[in-house]
Amino acid sequence: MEIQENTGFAPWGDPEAKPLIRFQNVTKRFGTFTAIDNLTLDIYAREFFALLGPSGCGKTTIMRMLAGFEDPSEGEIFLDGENIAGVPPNRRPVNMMFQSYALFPHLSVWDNIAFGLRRSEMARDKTRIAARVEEMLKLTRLEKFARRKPHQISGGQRQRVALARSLAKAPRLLLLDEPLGALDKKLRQETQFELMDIQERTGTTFVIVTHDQEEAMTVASRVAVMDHGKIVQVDTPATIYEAPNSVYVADFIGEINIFKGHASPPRDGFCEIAFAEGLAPIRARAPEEMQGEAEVSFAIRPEKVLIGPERPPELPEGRANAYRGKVIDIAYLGNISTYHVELAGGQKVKVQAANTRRIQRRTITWEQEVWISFTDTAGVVLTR
Amino acid sequence: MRRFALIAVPYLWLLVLFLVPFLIVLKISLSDATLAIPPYTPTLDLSRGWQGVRDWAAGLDLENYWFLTEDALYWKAYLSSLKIAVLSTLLTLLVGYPIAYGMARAPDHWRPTLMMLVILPFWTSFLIRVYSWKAILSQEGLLNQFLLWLGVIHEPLTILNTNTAVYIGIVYTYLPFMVLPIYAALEKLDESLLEAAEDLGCSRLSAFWLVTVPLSRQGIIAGSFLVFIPAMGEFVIPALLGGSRTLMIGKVLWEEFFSNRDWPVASAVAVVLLLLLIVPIVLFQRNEQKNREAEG
Ligand SMILES: Nc1ncnc2c1ncn2[C@@H]1O[C@H](COP(=O)(O)OP(=O)(O)OP(=O)(O)O)[C@@H](O)[C@H]1O
Ligand SMILES: [Mg+2]
Repeated sequence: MEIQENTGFAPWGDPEAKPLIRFQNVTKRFGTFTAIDNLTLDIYAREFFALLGPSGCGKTTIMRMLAGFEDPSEGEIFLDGENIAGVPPNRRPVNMMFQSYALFPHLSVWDNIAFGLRRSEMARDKTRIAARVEEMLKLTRLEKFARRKPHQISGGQRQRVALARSLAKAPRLLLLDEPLGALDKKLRQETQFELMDIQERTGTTFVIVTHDQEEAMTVASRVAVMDHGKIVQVDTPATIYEAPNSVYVADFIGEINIFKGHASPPRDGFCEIAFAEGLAPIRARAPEEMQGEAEVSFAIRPEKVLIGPERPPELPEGRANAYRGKVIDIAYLGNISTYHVELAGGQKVKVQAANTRRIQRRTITWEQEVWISFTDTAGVVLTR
Repeated sequence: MRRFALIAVPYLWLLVLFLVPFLIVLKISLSDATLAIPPYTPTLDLSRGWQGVRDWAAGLDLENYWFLTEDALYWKAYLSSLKIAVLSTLLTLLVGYPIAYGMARAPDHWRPTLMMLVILPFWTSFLIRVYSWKAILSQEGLLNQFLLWLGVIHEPLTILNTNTAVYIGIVYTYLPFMVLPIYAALEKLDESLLEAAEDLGCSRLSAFWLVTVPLSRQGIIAGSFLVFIPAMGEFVIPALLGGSRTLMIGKVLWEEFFSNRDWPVASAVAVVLLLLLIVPIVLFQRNEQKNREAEG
């Protein structure tokens, strides 16, 4: 998995920066059900902010509060420093791409895209509207379908119409609720780059909901991982991936091995985690908040674990962790393979290795005894 | 064979219940009136064989239709019926749309009850319901008493036996035919479409005009035809609520038939009415067809 480099754009780290959107202790209840629970969050102008979380965790609800379709039960939402409670949706400089697309069935693709423009300050200028619609059609590659009605095009094409329609007015804030779910991989990647490009050119702020964490990693400046109406972690994709703050986040993003165990009190910033009877404890960097001993989870990505037929040579000062195990499964994924290794204590570990050799000459096979190893900084110790 | 049988059943039904009576009426309309039983000639006398058929056919002519064009009463009655039907269709739409809209927007658990209330009047006799409007609209009726009591008026209004009463009667009677198809269209309307419209800059009102109305068009058209077609030939309502000056083709037909006992002219009036109604009926069918296609 590719990790986006930090490009120096980080207004969230700047105490002077004013957020475009501020959620201040926002709670949203539907009857007795709490969909959003005391949310406080800042989103900055020009951000590409991704909301990630399991179904029903409240992502769409956040979008709908920004668009103006739901009012918070408690707390305030500020746009550009102004409380937007009570501002109707048509008065907000916000456009939303609906999860259900919500295309107007009685209008052609062309008219769907022009709908918002006809209700903007552009309304009188037919040629400008036409030019803008054509531009959007070209961007989403829908030129051929401009005259068709929504029920005469495919699901993926409909999704692109919805995207084009929400982009057309070039709003300050664009809310995309699973914008690319129905596209095939290639088109999705192209559209992702297109979105990033649009974002770069127009300076629009994007809030995007996605189920696809790879997508969140690719496009987002920051990712918020949600669970049951709460935000568990907000950080850059690289931080979320490399330094998740909880087992929940670690488990949600990408593949990861979790070792539950008992950590010794940290010494020189490192602790030792006993996770199985008869096996050496894992040596790992202790998190700052850890004081004494504690029940912890040690999390390590499969690609950070090395695998080999022999015990690896010791790293200086014993900084490596090495365990013997048996290969119980191999998943060949083309450029990489995932090895499922069972350690002596029964703990299963996933290991990912690049296939730099041809498959016939691969040295590790099923049932083979192997050694897995990782350095003491390869994983993270999680206290919750 | 089974397919043939399946198609044959409705056609047979139509043949027996519509085409045969229509042909009989058509035949009478081509006959001449006499004082006899039945009150028209010629009658088909099959006992005289082929000659009988030829004599019968020779006795038929278009005289009655010419007569309809000569007497201004008839085309005036047709026009007046058309006017009353169009106007009352519009009025029914005006009253029915908000009702249908309210029903479609009501909470789910309310809808069956509301639906019941709309259909409920059908459970009592149509005649009784129209009759009771007499009690409401007459000079000493409930409406006048109520308005007098409110002090809105000082003299009782004359509503009964005017065209106003006819409009009220038609709107009241045919309201469910307008409400139900519009309700069916509005109920299917996806709420998120209105949100999308608002999101794209529409006020509530313009979202209603640009999204709700076009998407309930099929229901509006269906409901309008369902009101217009029967209203055009309406007889009972103008007879009971209308005055002597209310001119409607249904009333003329009735008078020709029962007062004048001129069956041939009455039949000619009926045939022309049917021909006039074929246009909206065909349009209505087209609309229904389009509806099904859009859904399918
Ligand atoms: N109008 C409503 N009335 C009652 N409950 C609601 C309403 N809208 C949303 N909810 C509930 O709030 C919770 C959050 O819903 P939301 O649509 O925000 O989820 P989501 O994160 O977008 O999920 P998904 O990924 O499936 O789209 C869900 O449990 C949902 O059932
Ligand atoms: Mg959602």
